[in-house]
Amino acid sequence: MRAPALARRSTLRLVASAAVIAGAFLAAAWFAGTPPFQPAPLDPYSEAAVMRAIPFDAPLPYDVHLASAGRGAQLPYHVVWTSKLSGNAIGQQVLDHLAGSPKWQLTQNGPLAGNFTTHFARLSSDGQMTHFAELSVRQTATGSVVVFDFTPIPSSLAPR
Amino acid sequence: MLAARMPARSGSPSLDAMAPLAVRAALLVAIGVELAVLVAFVPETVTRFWAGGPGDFANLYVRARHLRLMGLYSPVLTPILYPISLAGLHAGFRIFFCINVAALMAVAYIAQRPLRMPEARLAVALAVVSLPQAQWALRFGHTTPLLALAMLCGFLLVQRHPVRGAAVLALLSIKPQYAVAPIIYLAARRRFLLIAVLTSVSLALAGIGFAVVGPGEAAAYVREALNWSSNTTSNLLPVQQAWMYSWPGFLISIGVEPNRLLTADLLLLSAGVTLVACARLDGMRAASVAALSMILVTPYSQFYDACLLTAAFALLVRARLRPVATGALIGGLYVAAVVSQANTIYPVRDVLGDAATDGVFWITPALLLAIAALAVFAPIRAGGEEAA
Repeated sequence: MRAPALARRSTLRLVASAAVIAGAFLAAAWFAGTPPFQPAPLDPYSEAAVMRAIPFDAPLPYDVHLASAGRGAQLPYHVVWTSKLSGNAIGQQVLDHLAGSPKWQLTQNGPLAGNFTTHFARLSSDGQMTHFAELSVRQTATGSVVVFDFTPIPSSLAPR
Repeated sequence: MLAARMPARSGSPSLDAMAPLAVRAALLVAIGVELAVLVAFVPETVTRFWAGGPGDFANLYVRARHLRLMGLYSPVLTPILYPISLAGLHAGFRIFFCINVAALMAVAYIAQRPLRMPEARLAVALAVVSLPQAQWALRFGHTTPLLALAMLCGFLLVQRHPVRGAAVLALLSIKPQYAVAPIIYLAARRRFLLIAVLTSVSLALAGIGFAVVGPGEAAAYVREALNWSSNTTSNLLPVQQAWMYSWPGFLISIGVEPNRLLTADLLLLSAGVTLVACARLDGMRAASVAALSMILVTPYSQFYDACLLTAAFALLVRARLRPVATGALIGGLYVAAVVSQANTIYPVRDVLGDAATDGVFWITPALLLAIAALAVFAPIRAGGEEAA
């Protein structure tokens, strides 16, 4: 075969090889949803994500309605509920729940009544802290506002 | 039969010998897929390097910096990492990251070396570099890439310089569970002297470590090593148990409780299959089997430790199998590893959640299947391939 024909054939082969690689790359990326077909990243602090991140056994009151959930200022996660109950009733529900959640402990001794702010720690079975949380209850004319801020421990487990 | 007797350049087996259009096309497709995986993983890996995010390296750093035992790692890891720890946490992470990258590149270089076809060389090198678990090992700052290189060098060396090879394989005792497979390999081949060498060097390395951290720590180490508790995973959170590619994690991934007896049965089955395979096969194929069995014969192997698979790829390339069989084995294991990684829930979604995965860890049965296939279809006992 002549040199130009050989060169043409080599070029064709090279182009075909590159096309196959590019095709396989794009097909695999499309199938797996990876770049350049990566969907927009999910917001780790969307309302649903924050609600999912609440530990299942967190000692929260029962009769509340979600107002908002998102990124917190002091602690990574921040949830706000409203309730028609008084601060005292909310405090009692928290204590009831706490009695059934042995892994959670109050870290201070103040009364859970009226307007109050308290802090909790969640310990694993080997005594290691897995979560830290702050619960604030503020009484309003129609009931109460319950604010729950929390973080996994270490806090680096929370998304950036 | 998988076995091929077609020698390639300098007597090495090669995919080159059989390169019709379909094989070339398959290799090009493999390269495309591997590039897609690489592009998906490398940016985050580079970001972590840039941020100096210490990952699990922080655990190693603290203990090395204060010359303390590293849990159940060999005590020799403390003096090995001590000089790096002097650089500080973040700089130390970056230094260790670079060492791990160099180790991974070395494995990739060694893996593609016997091949002549550019497509095959690139496909094999990319399989090593783009393996998701290898990327995670780099991000975490774990020792696995270094262990993969040590394993590869050890198994290559043991073919011609058995004592030196056994001494290098002793480096796997840095994570003691990974010294099991080389011992099975040597036992199957009746190289009991080499087992003694491997054990002696491992103990000597541990002795160096104890001399540094304090001889009194030896008792604490033994006590911790023998503290198997109610089961080997009892100290792990459920989510951590679901990160294992060894049998307990596989059982979780198929929705079965990792019962101790069932796990022990699967471990013994894996060890038995590995033993038989190593006894039936020639040196390099048996070494490939041992490398493939690393995860299967230990009760504790986290997902990033599947980085050890990279050394198995390099050994399979040298195992003188039919080129198509080599490609199918490496390709199949690579796909199983990628799918298993996709099914692994990491980063963690709920640290307190039940042990769960997003699907089956296919890599675990795929490894056993690969070993069984080699044992059944590729039995050649080539005499004298290992020097006496």
